Amino acid sequence: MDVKELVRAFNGYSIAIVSDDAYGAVLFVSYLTSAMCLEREDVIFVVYGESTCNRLQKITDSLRENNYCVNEFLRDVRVIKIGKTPEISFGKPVAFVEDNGVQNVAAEVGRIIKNRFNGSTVFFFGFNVGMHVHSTSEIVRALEELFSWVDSTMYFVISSTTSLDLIANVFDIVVRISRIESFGMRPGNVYNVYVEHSIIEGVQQIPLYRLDEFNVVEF
Amino acid sequence: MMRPEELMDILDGSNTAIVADDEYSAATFVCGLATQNLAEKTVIVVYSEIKCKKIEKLLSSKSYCVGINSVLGKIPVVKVGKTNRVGFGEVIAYVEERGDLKEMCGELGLILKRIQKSRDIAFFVGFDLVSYLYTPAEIVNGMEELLTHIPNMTKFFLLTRVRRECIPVITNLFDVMIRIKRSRGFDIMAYNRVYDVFVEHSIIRELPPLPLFRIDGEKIVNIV
Repeated sequence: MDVKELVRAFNGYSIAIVSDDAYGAVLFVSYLTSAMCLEREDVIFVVYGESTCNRLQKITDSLRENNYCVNEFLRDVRVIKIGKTPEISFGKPVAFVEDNGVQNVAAEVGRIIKNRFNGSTVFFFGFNVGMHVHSTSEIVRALEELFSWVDSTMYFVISSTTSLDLIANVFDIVVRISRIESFGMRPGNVYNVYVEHSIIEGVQQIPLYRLDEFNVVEF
Repeated sequence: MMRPEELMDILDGSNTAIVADDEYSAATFVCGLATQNLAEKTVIVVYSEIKCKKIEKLLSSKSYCVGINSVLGKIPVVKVGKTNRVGFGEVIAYVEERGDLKEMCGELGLILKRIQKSRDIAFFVGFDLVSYLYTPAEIVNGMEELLTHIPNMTKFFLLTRVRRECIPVITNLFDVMIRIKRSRGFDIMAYNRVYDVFVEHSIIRELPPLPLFRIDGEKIVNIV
């Protein structure tokens, strides 16, 4: 299944991208968004927290420096920022939601997406920071609030330290990005990508790709 | 192999937890049990927006369930959550989620008691999410409240990926626990829609802990 087909198969569902590190997750997201860009899909990023914002910028910059798969799309992507300040150093800010309690934030973000960006594919970053700040029950309540507003395709970038039981309980599909040791001549991060959990008949639990900074290879 | 109707007869009047590794296998199992006769006596209770949307997407993606979609369209549904929206069945009642599980179970119990004469089998779906929102003590108190109102109704709780701390609660509260487990560990090269269905815990003499079926893709087959 190539990336374009994958994007089509995931359309309409809630997907957790569970990764060993943020670098692998952003790399995979950049491949997905490149495919979405070709398909002329509307994409919006929701970024929670100042630290997530900074890290995301650093990773996209380093990917862009190497001029690999990250295109101008990532520079121009529309961003809803959640945090203490509205500043972001990548993309185009379209809304700012002040962090005044995770429940309120979820309702506000849900309202913004429903009223202004209905039908857009939404990527959520910063779930892990939220897991450190709030309890599991607060996070689940916030997701419940968000899901009551949003019907679009949603991708959540999540760290592999989060309980898979919780993730599989909430999301339709879980994609695992697992870092592998690479002893080849070429240095760099290499990842296996596979579907770990799926409630959808057409999306089975199968290996998908081997991923690095240079390309994405189907298994 | 025990026939699904035999299993349903044995479980009549009991509280059964069907604990599955994922919603897909749980749905395949329930679709295998479903008959027109069963549908006429059944009410579905669904909890949360997250699970409601998940079930709707699962049913519409599952070609195996298409046959029962016409039956599902007529089944009464009680929704517990933030909104009264449900993407399947016929919504007959709505209980607002206000953050108090005991109060919610009381309200739900009264609704189910009212319809028990015509619908004496209840399938509870989405309540696994409760294990992430409430403490085991709150869950036990909620179940006690529910059971006060409908002690004799046949109840099936479809649970997936329950929080670990709450697993002992299941064994202590339910008469029978049916487990649907992926039949092998995740192998990156393996096709993975094969599950074993077995009775893990039971207080019913006719149904001791034993293997029941195997789910292979969309079919329920004999375990050999």
